[in-house]
Amino acid sequence: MGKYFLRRIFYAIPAIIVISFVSFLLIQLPPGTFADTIAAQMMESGGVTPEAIKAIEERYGLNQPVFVQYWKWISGILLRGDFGQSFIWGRPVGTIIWDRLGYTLLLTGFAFLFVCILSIPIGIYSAVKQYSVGDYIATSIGFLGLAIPGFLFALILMFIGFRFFDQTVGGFFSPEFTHAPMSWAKFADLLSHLWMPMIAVGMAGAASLIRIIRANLLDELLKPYVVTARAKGLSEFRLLIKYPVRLALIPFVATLGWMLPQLISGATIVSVVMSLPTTGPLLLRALLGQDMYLASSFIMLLSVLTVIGTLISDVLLAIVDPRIRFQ
Amino acid sequence: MIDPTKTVTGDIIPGAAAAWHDTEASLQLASQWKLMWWRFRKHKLALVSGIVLICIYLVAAFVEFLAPFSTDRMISELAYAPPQRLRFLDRTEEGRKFRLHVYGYKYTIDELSLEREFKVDPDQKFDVRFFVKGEPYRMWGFIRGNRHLVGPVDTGAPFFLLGADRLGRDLFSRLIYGTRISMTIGLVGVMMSLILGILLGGISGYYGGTVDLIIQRIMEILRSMPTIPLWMGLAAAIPYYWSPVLVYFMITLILSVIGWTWLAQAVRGKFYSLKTEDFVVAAKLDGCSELQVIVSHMVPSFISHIIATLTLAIPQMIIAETALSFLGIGLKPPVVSWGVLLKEAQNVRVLATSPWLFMPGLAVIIAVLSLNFLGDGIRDAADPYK
Amino acid sequence: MIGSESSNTESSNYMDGNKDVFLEVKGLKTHFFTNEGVVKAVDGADFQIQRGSTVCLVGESGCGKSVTARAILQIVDKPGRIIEGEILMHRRDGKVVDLAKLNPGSRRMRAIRGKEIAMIFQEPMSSLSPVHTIGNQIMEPIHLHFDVEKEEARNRAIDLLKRVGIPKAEQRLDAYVFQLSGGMRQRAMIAMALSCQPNLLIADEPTTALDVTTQAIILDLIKELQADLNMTILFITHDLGVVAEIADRVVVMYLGKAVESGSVDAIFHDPKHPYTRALHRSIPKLGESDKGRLDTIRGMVPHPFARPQGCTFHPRCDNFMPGVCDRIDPPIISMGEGVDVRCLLYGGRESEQPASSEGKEEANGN
Repeated sequence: MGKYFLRRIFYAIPAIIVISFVSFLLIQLPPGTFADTIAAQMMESGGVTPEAIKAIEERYGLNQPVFVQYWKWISGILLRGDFGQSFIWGRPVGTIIWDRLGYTLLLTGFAFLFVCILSIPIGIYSAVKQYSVGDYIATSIGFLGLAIPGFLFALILMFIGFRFFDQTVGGFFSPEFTHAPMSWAKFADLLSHLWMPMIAVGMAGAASLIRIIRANLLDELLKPYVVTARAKGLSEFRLLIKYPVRLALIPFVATLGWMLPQLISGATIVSVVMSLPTTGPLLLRALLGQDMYLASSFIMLLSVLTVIGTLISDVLLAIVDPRIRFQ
Repeated sequence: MIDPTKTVTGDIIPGAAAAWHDTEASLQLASQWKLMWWRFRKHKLALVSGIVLICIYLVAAFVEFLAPFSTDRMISELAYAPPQRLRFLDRTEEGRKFRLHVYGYKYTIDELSLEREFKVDPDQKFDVRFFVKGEPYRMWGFIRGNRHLVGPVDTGAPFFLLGADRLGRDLFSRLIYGTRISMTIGLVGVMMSLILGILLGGISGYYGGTVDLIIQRIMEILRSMPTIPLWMGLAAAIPYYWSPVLVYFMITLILSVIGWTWLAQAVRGKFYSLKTEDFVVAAKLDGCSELQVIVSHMVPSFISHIIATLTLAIPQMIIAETALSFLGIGLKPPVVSWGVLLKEAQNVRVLATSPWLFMPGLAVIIAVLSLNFLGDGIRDAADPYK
Repeated sequence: MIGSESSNTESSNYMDGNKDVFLEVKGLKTHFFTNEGVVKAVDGADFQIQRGSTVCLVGESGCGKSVTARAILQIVDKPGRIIEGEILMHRRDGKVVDLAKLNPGSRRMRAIRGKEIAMIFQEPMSSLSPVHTIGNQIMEPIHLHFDVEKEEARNRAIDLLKRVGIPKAEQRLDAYVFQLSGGMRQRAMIAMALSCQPNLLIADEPTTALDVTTQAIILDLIKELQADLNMTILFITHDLGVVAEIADRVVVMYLGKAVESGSVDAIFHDPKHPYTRALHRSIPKLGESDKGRLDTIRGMVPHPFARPQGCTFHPRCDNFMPGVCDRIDPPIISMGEGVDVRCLLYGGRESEQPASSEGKEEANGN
């Protein structure tokens, strides 16, 4: 087991290196640099001279070859934990990204919980009681999640919230709790703001997982080991959970790993729609403003999060399926 | 071949001959495609979806004719006007008479918010006709015409079947125009993914070894990066001064660069498992060249699976383009796609007072749902193990 | 030595005496109600199993032997159901339980499964869970039916593994099914079935999926265990060679009915039913290679929805009597010395009942 874990980490390292490079490269793609944005601003407020632009380029190191710039950035991260400077906000990136990332993790985490809590029981039920009313409800939820992308769902939820419950979305906390220390009341307030984005982000994932669990369980229920278990005298419920469900959960766990990037993506875009204090809106601004270090750091960290997530799910898979460990 | 009308020892089984010839004969001659079609026909949902999709693509084809107006025609005083109902009977003092028309608007301006409140005005009647003469257009860029399927007789009259947007433009017309862009971007993107996916997936699966390992690693890395931030990065990289057409192609390229991994994975998996199948070995032993083996033997056995995967990839593309345009980093005005239209509906307050602005969202949902059902139906029909 | 000899050599008429009978199956009918129609998988099975003996259920694929076995434990898959008949289990304290009347999901039935009657299956790889250790699966029925500590259950499991001949039992307990060879897996399954010391072991073709050498080993093991524990065994197979080796009594089934039952000697040396005789003839025998083609039973097994009227074997029967065999469904005729046959050659013409509703037209014409 330990060997398997180490092997996976070993493979993840080159992946992270490539990701960091790609993230950096991404922001280099648009023509021009941040210097041009500043220049445009300066244009409006009075005039701009070539020397001024040059000075900005010097100051931010924008006129050096890409590899040099990349190296400076990466070494800064690895040696000093310094992610660079945000041009737009004029502050070190580190002060901006961490709580944003934290909130993204929070939203993604809750969406993940939502997916599991919703899809496992519904998936099991609709496989065991095929063609029943519950099965049709489950299939309908499946279609909802399939057809309505996250951001549209977010819009619909916001619309319903606004029109019928007079609730506005924006941020995770009501004004009175924003700077207050953590408490149960604050947590409850958080949940009341979290439920809408959580559903919007998790719905698509929940829908596809319901279908996956249902399909896999239907397959497993017909297998011989179920008959053996019954012949031993187990009750239907116990044998259901111990055997076919356990086996049907294996592809479920496998799918979870692949679902993580989707959840993070979904969280990004839903946050933009709902103006939440997560990475999404900030990343958008950074990209549009060519705020190099901020954007690259965001993309890289989000991708690293996903890699870690897939790693965790691979390990989970090995725990749940002994066949993987021994081969 | 075993003679099903006789036993192993040669005795004739009574009645078997007749029964055999009736049903089996047709099955014996049915090609793979025919069998698929028969199975597909049974899947009612997929059939209905197929019809819906054909309708949608027909709309996309005949946009200029179907839309009452062009995309930039506006009546500014009627911004955010609610949808009008098409009325068929005219009630006058003389009685009722068939007359296609709509009622006009009467609006009052709220003093505090400066917003307009619209009310239907039955005294204003604007005639509407089918195959009416309207704004001239060039269908597909070269066929001239000026007939529209439906529209007001007076081209300046207010005619908003789905309401008006922020600038007083007809949402119905813009929705139809958006259909063309949104539905074709999916196709083009998928084609590109297909080429990339089959090429790389095929090489990877067929040759195996280090080539496979490298390509696998690349695919893994690409797949572990969350797509939306990646798209956002790439899309934001498109210079703002590029022409809309160029932007369109760039967007599809971006979408396919991420999308191909999924297809490549499927192709690779199939090649891998087929490589060791007996019929492939037999073909090789027969003396077929590598290319022959691949094209005549391996490809036909999974082509239906590929088609199903493709059909399921198109809705992903549509959603992706819609999402990017919705955020403002995909297609931009004056190009009209459903995503661009939805961008107007981003503000909840606006949406609450003018819910018809959500119609493009409904269009997306219907298109995506139909494509998914269709893809499911094709996949089920193509699966030889069901 | 019990086990390889017939254990009721001098008992008289089998059907009335119930000397130490453990299980009696009477007129069992198990039908499957599918969308396309009713499949009469078991349509009249009658036999008895004496304590300590081995009864073999023989027949071609589709004759209903597996379904019969499963019906005893009430684990017939949906849409199958027992619609008629009795399955009488005689407990040592004299009580008789009709298993056919018990609800499949009831606590009483569950208490019997695994404890009083246990079952082993054909393919151990797919019949055992791939993600649970074999120790877990062997101890499961122990914990289920007895109130024991984990320690004791574990020890019992290790003993069982040793008993069935698995070396390094302690380590093997924590192994997974895929880590064992084919023969080992079947031994593990046998260990699992014996864990609660059942009165009856039902073996559903346990050696069919094994190679010949392993088959011989497993059969030896089963015989040995039967001798040691005085086990009663219901062994299902289509292989007459296996029957010759281990059976005390044989029940031959065709299309859901038991067509002949008797001691293994009687069935092999003096088969009465034409089907049994045909089966006999079709066994390739050493030294007869000059005969040319192998004998087969002519015709094919009919489609479940198109069963012949009257005696279901008549289209393939060498002793077919026109007008008789295609009209009358043969009743059970007792031939003495424990042999029962369902064949009009030996009687039953008097009971002119049409076999099924399809026979109504024939009854008028002719």
